[in-house]
Amino acid sequence: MSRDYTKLKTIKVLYVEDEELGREHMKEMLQRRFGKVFLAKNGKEALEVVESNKPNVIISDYRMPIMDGKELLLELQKDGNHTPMIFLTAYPDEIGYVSGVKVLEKPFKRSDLLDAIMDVLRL
Amino acid sequence: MENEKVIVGIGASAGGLEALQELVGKLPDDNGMAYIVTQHLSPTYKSMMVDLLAKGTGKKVLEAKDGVVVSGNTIYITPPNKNIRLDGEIIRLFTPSGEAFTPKPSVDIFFESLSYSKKNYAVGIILSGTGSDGTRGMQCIKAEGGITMAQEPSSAKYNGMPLSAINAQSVDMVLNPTQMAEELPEIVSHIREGKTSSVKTDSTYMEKILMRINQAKNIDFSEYKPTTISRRVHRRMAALKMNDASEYVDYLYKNDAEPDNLFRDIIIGVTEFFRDEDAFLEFSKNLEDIVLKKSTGGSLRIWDVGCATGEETYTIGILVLEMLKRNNLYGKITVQIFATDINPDATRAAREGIYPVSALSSLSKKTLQDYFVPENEFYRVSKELRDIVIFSQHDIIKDPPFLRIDALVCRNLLIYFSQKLQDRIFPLFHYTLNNGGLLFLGKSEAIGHFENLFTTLSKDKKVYRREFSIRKEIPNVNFSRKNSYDLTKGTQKEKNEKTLEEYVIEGIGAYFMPMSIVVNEGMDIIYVREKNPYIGFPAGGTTMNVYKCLEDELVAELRTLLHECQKNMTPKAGVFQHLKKSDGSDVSVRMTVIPLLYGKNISRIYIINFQEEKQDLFIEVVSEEGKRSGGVDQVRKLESELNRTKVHLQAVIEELETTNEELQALNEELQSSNEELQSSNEELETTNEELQSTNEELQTAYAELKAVSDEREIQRDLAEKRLDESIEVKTLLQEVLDSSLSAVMAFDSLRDDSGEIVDFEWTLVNKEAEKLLQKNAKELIGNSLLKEMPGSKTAGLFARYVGVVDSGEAYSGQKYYKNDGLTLWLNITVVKHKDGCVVTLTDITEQKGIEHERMLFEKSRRGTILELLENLSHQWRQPLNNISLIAQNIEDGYEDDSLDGEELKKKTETIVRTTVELSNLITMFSSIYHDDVAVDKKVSLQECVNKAISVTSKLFESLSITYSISLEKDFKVGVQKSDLVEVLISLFMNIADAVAKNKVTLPVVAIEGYEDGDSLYVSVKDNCGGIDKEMLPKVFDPYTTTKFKSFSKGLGLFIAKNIVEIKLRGEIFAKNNKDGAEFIIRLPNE
Repeated sequence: MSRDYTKLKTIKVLYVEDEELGREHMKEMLQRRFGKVFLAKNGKEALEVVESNKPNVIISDYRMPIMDGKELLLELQKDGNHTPMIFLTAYPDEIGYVSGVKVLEKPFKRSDLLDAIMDVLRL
Repeated sequence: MENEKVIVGIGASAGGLEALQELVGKLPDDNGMAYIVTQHLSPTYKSMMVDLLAKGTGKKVLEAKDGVVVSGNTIYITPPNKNIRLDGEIIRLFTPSGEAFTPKPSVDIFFESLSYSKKNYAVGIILSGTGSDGTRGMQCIKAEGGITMAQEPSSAKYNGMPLSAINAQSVDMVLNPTQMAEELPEIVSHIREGKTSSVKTDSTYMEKILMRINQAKNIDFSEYKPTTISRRVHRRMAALKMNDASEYVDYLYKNDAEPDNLFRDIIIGVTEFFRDEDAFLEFSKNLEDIVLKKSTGGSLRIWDVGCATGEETYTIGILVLEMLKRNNLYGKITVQIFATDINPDATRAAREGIYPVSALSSLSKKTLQDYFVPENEFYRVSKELRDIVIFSQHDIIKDPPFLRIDALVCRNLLIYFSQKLQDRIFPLFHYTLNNGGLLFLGKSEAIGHFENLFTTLSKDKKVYRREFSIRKEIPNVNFSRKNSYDLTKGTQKEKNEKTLEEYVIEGIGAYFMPMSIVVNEGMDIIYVREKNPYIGFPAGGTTMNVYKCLEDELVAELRTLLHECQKNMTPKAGVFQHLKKSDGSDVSVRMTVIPLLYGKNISRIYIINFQEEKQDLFIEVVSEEGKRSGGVDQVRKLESELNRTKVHLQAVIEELETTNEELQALNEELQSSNEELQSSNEELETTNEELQSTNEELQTAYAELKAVSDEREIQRDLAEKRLDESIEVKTLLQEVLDSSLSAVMAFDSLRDDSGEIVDFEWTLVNKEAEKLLQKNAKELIGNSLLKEMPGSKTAGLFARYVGVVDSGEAYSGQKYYKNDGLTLWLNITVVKHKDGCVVTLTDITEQKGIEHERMLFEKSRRGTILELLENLSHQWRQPLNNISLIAQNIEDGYEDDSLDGEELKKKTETIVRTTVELSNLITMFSSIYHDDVAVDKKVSLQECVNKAISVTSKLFESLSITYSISLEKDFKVGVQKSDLVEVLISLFMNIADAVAKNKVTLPVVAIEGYEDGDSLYVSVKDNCGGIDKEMLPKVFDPYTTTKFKSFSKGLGLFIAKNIVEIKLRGEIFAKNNKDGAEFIIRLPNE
């Protein structure tokens, strides 16, 4: 049963991904459904975006140069920032269980991602 | 005393409350009895006893309070953590002293005081409880004439206390609590009626009773005080609930056990340590004087008569030891304390020397520490103290006495003896003691009319000193023989006569004989009146012989005079003799001898008077006579002189005779000494007989031992022979064992209490075993397996050994042993041997090592392929994801109508491009393993590097790793392409790990190829900080990983090395450069 994704229209989302092509196509998909979409190439950039734009939810690749998804999460927690996060990864066996973070495997189904976001935002 | 209160003491411990409730609930109506309960209680727990007991009885139940006078029909409960004593009928409570392990309140302490306070009006009851408290107290009650009961052990929740009392023979009745309650009124009436003695009034009963005991126990109590005996008989009658003496006598004759019971009752005695401490100190003080006179190496002999259970004896022992230590004589004087008692049970107990804490309460902490050793809840007499005491069963009335005793202690025994018997005993004591020896009696005993034998040193402490008597009297005590002669009567009369004698001498002597002595038949001076200048003691040994003591000039005449007197029994006067006194003045002295007869035995004594005249007076008389008679005077003078010469001649003749007679007397003296010796001899013979029988027993024991020992000897010889042989065999065996290439070890099982094997003990190792375990045989043999090789447990070897020993089935297998500093592959064989096993270990590390490495190699090779596949799948996911995203975006675009043709074309083109990319990826991966079918074909190094780079490119990209390739030329390598590619991939992945770990900001990989002679070198450098120093030598070991989060699984470099060495016939090294690591592969250049 599909849920009411219209609620996402009020949501600001940040997508963190080092691969350009993936970033581009994801942006297209997100823009259709979310109020505002921000992009970042790695964890470091993501921190800046979070600082200035305060997204409601973060979708992040796991393995990235400079600062990876896990490090990003730890940095945010260190700052007391508890913005809900969802990991997308091509290396699902590397992540294991991270408390409070949803992990989706690449490639993923659009609806799975959206449901996961609804869940973490309790919409 | 009809209304004397009977007090019932009740002692209980664990399980006692139940029994108490039962007993209290059934107690008889008021009959004047009072009950005092001493129940062991926790010192801290608040007791509910009073309330609990009050519920079940109509009697008053009160907590005992200090100073309260016991009233009848009342039950008193001793409060916790207090001890109770009875002082008459007044309750005394006091806080117990330190010993934590004695139960409180102490039943022993209470019962002891109860027994002294109430004598035969005391009843002692022991109920359920553990331990032995109360046993001693029951003995006291019984000894003082009270009645004792113990709970029937099977009815008691805990039977320790009742059993202990019963076993100590201190219980009259064994009953359950209800029966006790029923018995009490009857017993009380018996106790009260018992005072009107029916036994005493009829002496025939008494005779019969004594006869029965004599017959059953061979001990004659006929000379004991009849009251003592009858009191005991009545106690027995009360315990048996008999009223009629004839009934008891009947019972005594029919029942085999009763004579024994009565005997025990009669002789029961309980003594205490330091009972009357003051008296003991006085005794000790006097004994010290004797000890101090002894020379080093001398011996001190003390005889304790009636030692009971030894408390008194050990008290003396402690005093003596303390005294010796104090005077620095310890070890220099031998101490022997003979302690004797008629009761064999008592001497047995005394020999054991074990006492409950309650018996030792009067001792100081120091004494307790010095002379006692704690043993469970008891104390045992120390060896030092025990060693100086010799206990034996001995009847003072009929057994021969000990001789040459320095001090004789006989306390509270004589009170049981009739006067007649006492009159025999004191001379015996006198006989047995050394001159000046001490006699120490009990509080209520005295030497009576034997003041001539003993001098009182302390009247109230009862210490006496043996006096030197003129003639050492052999006491006429019939040792084991019947003798009708009664010495005592004679002694008594002698004494009376002597007093009269003194009157006579005094009366006459005061006027006529101011200077006299009295000698006896033996010519010993027994009396000297006034200071006598003619009597003196000669130098040397002391003597009383009048001839020795008299001035030499007078001796001859005295002999004459005494001789005459002896013959005629008439007084005889001598003549004046001129003497020079010591002060130089001349005197004339005349001796007169008056014989006297006295006593039935017709003893003779002689009074010798010395009449002294001034010399000048005497001369004056003579000269006046001379003046008167003129010439005749001269003749007369000559005649007189002649007469005197005649008389003197006569005297000389008689003197000869006297000398003869003196010899005779001497002979008699010798004879009497001989008799003394005879008596001692007889005594010795008795002792000898005892010794003989002991000797025989010893002989038998010796013979048995000898037989055993002989057999042993034979066996030992055999064993020695066998040993020699076996040593030879053993040497041979050891050599054989040592020649083995396997390690051989033998173990004995070590088992715990339950029989489980907990460890093994090495009993044998051969040379190879020492080598293998890198330990010396000396370290191993006799030691524990788990101590020397704790790893056996971890490695499971120990369990194997146990399994073999338990099942008996041998084990054989291989094991990789990496413990106790050893890393070995072992072939293990375990075979059970006796209660242990023999283990054979063969080091197969070498074979195994090759096998193992090959296995690892294959395993890791499979691993790398898997890794590559995994990598591939990762590399596929991203493009697939993109395709998936594009597809979903197309769907979205279609749905919201935003998808135009151009957009669609752009998207499909991206999809197609991505799929081509994916396809290439697959081709490349499969080509690693597929395109080198031809082994001989040379492959291009460039191609290999490109392939490896392309496989890892996505990984490098994700970590922003850049790379440079610089080859001197396109080298051709005569190897399989996949092998070299695999090596390079391993190196690249290792670098990726380092980058991820060290967070390198601008990671660069430089790949170079160059020739040097017939070698081709491929170098892979990074700038990732290099390899840890300690890791560097191990970098190619399996499972050594240089990374924290490994992209390869730790086998990468190990497999790379193996491929290079085995397949590429080359070498690989690792080293650290300035900012990173460098791996160099050397290949043969063809």
